[in-house]
Amino acid sequence: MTSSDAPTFTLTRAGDRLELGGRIDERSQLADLARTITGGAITLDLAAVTYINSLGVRDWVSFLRALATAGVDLTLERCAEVMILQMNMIVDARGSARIASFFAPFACDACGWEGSQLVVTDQVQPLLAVGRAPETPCPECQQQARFADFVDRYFLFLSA
Amino acid sequence: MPPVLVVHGDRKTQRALGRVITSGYGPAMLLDTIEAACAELAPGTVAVVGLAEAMAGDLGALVRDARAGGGDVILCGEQGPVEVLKLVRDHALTHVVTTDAVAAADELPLVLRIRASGGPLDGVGVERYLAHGAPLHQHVPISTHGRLGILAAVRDDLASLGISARHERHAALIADELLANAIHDAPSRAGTVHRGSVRDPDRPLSARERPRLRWGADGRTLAIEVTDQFGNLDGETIRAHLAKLVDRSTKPREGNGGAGLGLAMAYTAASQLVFHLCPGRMTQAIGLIDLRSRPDGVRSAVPSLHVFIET
Repeated sequence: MTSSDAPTFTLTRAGDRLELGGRIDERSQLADLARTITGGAITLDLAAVTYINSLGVRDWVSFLRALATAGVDLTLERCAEVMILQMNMIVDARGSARIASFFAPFACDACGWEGSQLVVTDQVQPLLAVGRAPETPCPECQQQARFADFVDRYFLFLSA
Repeated sequence: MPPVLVVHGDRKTQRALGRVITSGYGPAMLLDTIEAACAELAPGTVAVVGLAEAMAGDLGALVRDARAGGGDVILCGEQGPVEVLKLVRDHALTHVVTTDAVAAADELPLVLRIRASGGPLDGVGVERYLAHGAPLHQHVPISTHGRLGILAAVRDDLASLGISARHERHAALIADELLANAIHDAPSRAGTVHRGSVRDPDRPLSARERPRLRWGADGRTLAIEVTDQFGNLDGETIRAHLAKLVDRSTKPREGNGGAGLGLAMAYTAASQLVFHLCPGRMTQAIGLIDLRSRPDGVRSAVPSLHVFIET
């Protein structure tokens, strides 16, 4: 195996909590990971996922499908933006998983800061229901930073 | 030079588009409706139609009549909804401009000029979209897995540019998907039709199988170009893949070949995706990222799309 063939994602497991990070592509072999998880409730933290390509999406969808078949009650936490974009493109990229929280793009008009901030699903859904976008304090100047994408597009995965 | 009609119900936008086209290409007639445009079609006419007008009017009739006279239709509108891709598929459209007026000032006249010149194959690829003198990087894989090493090198170079992480990620995804398609969806033997070879085993690529990846950036655009030597991609296949973005129930293709999502993913990562198709000889795909947009700013749900076909 050459260095470019080596898997580029990391998996950390502590009890019923897993953290997946890095790049999800054809080297990830998430199906192998699914075989190690049987039944019960699992929380998967996706904050450190930095990249996913089309083969990675297929692998991810197969992974979700395998967990659903095994009767695993899956909660996704701190989903990176790259994962949200895929969930918005394909329903199966979310599957039957519950999304507890996720990152979303924000921008501050006062100081120009731009970045990802964590959004808690239960807090944002009531806002979306009345057509409002979430806001967050700018981490640099503490002014209100605005959500920096289309509301009806970025939060589409929550309606699946 | 083929005549141009601008069809837009909003007079301010209509005039802005008219100025962009007149200053960068040639005179344009301004009209309010598709019906008015149908009445004004002359041989070779290119109609630039606003998205709202295209979705409300009889676009099919305009496309049919324009093409019957050797002309064509270009959809144009800022922040197009994803449903625009249905129009693209249903009417076999080849050009959609969804950038704002400032960016369209670069994009629209260039598209019209390429069309007027009879085709894109003048030996110019990614250079066409970058400022003169912008340095270009080139990579040619010599085996199927060579793609992974190239992508690692591209990512390192992108990181050294100092662009935002989001732009870097989008550029890497475009390079990844276009290169994978060029390597795995090109015919393995001359004269064969081939799509989606098994992606697991590493194998050497013959000289003809080797695609070329080039990329470069100037102050406003990051451009990634992948060229193969087969030219087996066609407009219908492109439109079918992009239409998957309209239907979220699309499922990744099973098996060891491609997942069937790469083209759509590359498209959504770009500000503009351009194909230069030369059937049987060459496919050139170019993804453009507008570096002037805010790193986390709002981009159009539907990036611009251009399919130039050399016959």
